[in-house]
Amino acid sequence: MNSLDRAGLVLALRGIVGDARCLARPDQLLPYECDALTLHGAVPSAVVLPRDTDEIVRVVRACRRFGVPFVPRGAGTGLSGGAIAMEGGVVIECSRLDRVLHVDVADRFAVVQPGVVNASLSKLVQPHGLFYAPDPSSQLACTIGGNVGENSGGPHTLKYGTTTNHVLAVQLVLPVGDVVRLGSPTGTSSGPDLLGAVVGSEGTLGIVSEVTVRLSPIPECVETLLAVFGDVVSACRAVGRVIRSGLVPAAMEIVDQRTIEAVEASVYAAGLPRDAGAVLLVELDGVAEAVARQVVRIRDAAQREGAWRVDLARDAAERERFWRARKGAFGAMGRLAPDLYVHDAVVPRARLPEVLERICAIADAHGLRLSNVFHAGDGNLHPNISFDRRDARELEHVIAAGHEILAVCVAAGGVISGEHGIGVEKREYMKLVYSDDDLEAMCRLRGAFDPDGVCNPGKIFPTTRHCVEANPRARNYDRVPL
Amino acid sequence: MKALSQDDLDALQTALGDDAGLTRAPVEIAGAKLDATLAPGAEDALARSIAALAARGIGAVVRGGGTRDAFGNPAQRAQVVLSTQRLSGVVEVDAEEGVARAFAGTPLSELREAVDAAGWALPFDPPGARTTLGGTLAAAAIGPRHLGFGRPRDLVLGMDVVLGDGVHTRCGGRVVKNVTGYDLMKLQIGAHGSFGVISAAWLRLRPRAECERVVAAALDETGDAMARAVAAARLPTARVCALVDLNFGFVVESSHAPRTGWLLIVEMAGDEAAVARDSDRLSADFGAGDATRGVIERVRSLQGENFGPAGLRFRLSVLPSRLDRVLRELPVAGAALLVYPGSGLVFARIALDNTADGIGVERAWLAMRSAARAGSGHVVLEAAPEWAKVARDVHGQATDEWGLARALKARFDPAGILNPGRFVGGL
Repeated sequence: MNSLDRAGLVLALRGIVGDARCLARPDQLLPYECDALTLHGAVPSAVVLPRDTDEIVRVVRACRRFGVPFVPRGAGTGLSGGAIAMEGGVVIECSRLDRVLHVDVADRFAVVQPGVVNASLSKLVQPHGLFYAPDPSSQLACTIGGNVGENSGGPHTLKYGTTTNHVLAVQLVLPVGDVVRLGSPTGTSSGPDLLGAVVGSEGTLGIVSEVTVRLSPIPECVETLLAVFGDVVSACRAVGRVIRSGLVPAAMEIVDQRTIEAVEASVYAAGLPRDAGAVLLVELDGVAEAVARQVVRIRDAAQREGAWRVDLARDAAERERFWRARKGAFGAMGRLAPDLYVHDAVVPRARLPEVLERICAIADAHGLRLSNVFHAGDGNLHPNISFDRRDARELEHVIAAGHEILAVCVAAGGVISGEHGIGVEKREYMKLVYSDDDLEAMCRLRGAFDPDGVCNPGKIFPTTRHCVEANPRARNYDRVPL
Repeated sequence: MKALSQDDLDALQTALGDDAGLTRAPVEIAGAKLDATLAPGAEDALARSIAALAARGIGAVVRGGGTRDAFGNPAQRAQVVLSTQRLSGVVEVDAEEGVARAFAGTPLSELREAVDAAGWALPFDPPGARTTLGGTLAAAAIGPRHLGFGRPRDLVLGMDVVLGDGVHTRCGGRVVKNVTGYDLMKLQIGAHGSFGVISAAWLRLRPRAECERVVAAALDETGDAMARAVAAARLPTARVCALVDLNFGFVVESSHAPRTGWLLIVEMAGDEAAVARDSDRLSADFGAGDATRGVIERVRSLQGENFGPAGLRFRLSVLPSRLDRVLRELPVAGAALLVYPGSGLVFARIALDNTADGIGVERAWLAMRSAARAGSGHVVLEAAPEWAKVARDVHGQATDEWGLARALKARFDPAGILNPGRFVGGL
């Protein structure tokens, strides 16, 4: 947009949220150039920080008047570039919408604004014996609104499910500026399940302005085991054995040898044997009697697959130490190289061993440093590539290897994202999973919510086949190659 | 409505490409007199059939096992039945993963057999002996075990759907965690075929329980009976928690039939020690003892039954903590109640004095509406004779979803041929 239009837009936005909550100077906008995916970037025309639903509505309507797109943003911890203003426009940051509006202990739900930080909700309701189950790794920073956009997961989704299983209702500002309520605290609504379509829609169907979430009872007993293996394939086989047996732990996470090395060399050191090929972290929760018996079953499964040893955390401090190996992994990898590309794909759990072998071979062939730390229980892989983006040749290999890794996962019956979303990052890879007809069906949904394609454009759909309805600019040239 | 022409029938026959798929015999469903039944035997034939229907503007009542014909608003402009019954079969049960794929017309009984044989549990148990997988998903149908199993929306991993213009699409996959694109599964689950015809689905299975036990007790109505029932439903191993009212207590469980109040039934499933602990608790708190065999099946039948062809069956969905208030609003006389306290579901059956008793229907609606309000929830009329559906939308009061549903219908079924008239707001 030209500078005159932009000045008018900023003036209009300031009239709605005031000067302090409308950012427009280049130095203020730069932090909004990207989210936690740093490979892509675009500077927005302006950023607003609304404080209530009404302000969101007025901002959306102002954007419509000025013909600019708008992009919702939570804490900016997303890993697929979902919060980047790809086509310019206004970023609507929801961090100021950070109030918990209501906690219903009897019926176990809470009504929150979208900017409430994930972990803070669990902390707030803990005295009532409740918690909010989805626990993405970024839970100390990420917001519930962002979690709704991405249908975020976390280590404990194996047993508890992802965000979509825990959202009961939302208030949504539609891209036309109307406000709707979808879902109900009772868990069912008398119309189609549009709530289910909105969760995980990556901010392309509207701006979530209020969320009603389910709260779960804190389990009476938690046990955490750490099994050490000679190689990652054996650890994967142990996971397969557990799944096959019908046992559903709260979490099953694998950390491979390269990650162990990085963790042990960092401040997150958890006392893991550096010569181990992999560690498998298993958390069990529930009724004390049942958990005690499950511990025995997990030990057995791990030993049958050749575990060197299986340790049971004796106390909370030791549990925390075990988890440090998992949760500190990404921080520790920062030591390996300036940049880290965190991939996200899912395969059937029985296919984990062969897929991992192939992924490692791909990285080797490209001469890249790859490490794996992942939600093995869900089959949710996170192959991480450490690299230096200043090395253009290496960056090319990173991109090429990423594509090959995703293709291997899809060929094994998997998908290209388990919890990070498609965003900008993977939109061109959607065709690995879906046909044109499948994508066109998604466009129909988009079109019903956002007929003009103004809400978070440039996400999810491949640019080689634009959603004609969802992106009017693509009309007449919807087959333009990359 | 004009009868189907020979030309129409020829076109449909060509689309089916299968002599066995077209039956030219009148059928009456949902108040509509239909001329023929199309039963494609494969997904491509289903897609071609729907494309042919759309091209000619022929409305179709979409049907699985036919167990929920009584649900939905009266059909409008429908001329044929589109049956999924020949699109049947279990494609795969993956015992390593605990997932399965089957075609929509597969009877749940057949699917359950295959899943059992693989050592897993099929987490769907809606009433209706002929219920198909597709019908269960399209109706988001639940049974007594939804407390432990979860609801259909939580159990579908992937889906094949033919949209209203005959486009065959796929969404989701076979893996247990997936955010690759929009979740179009949930849009179809509970949409009663209005946005497309489900042709196959990938499902999440549940582990087979190591130990199962069903207990029953009389629950008197004094004090905080409902709160106590909700607490029973929240026991860690509770897979079913049902309350059956006095009038039907003896039908479900004669040995524990209460003299006043309610019959409480709890099925526990899971770890043996955990089940033992929960049953001890139920025994101490309610005096619960082992129930007789088949009690869960009888609860399930009760959930799906009506008082004859003129009966009404409402389903209320309310907040569990408001159940006592909800039940106070319901007419004591004439309504037979089944309550799932853990999920706040109330099934209320009402017998009408005589056929075409419009006043009785209106009175029932008013009572149900005020009960739903008292529970901060909503009510739908799940089963009723067609004449009783004329005055009000069976889906109850319009919500914001209904407006968006219209925009979705225009895109997912542009010719308006799938179950025309039957969904929310007469879509």
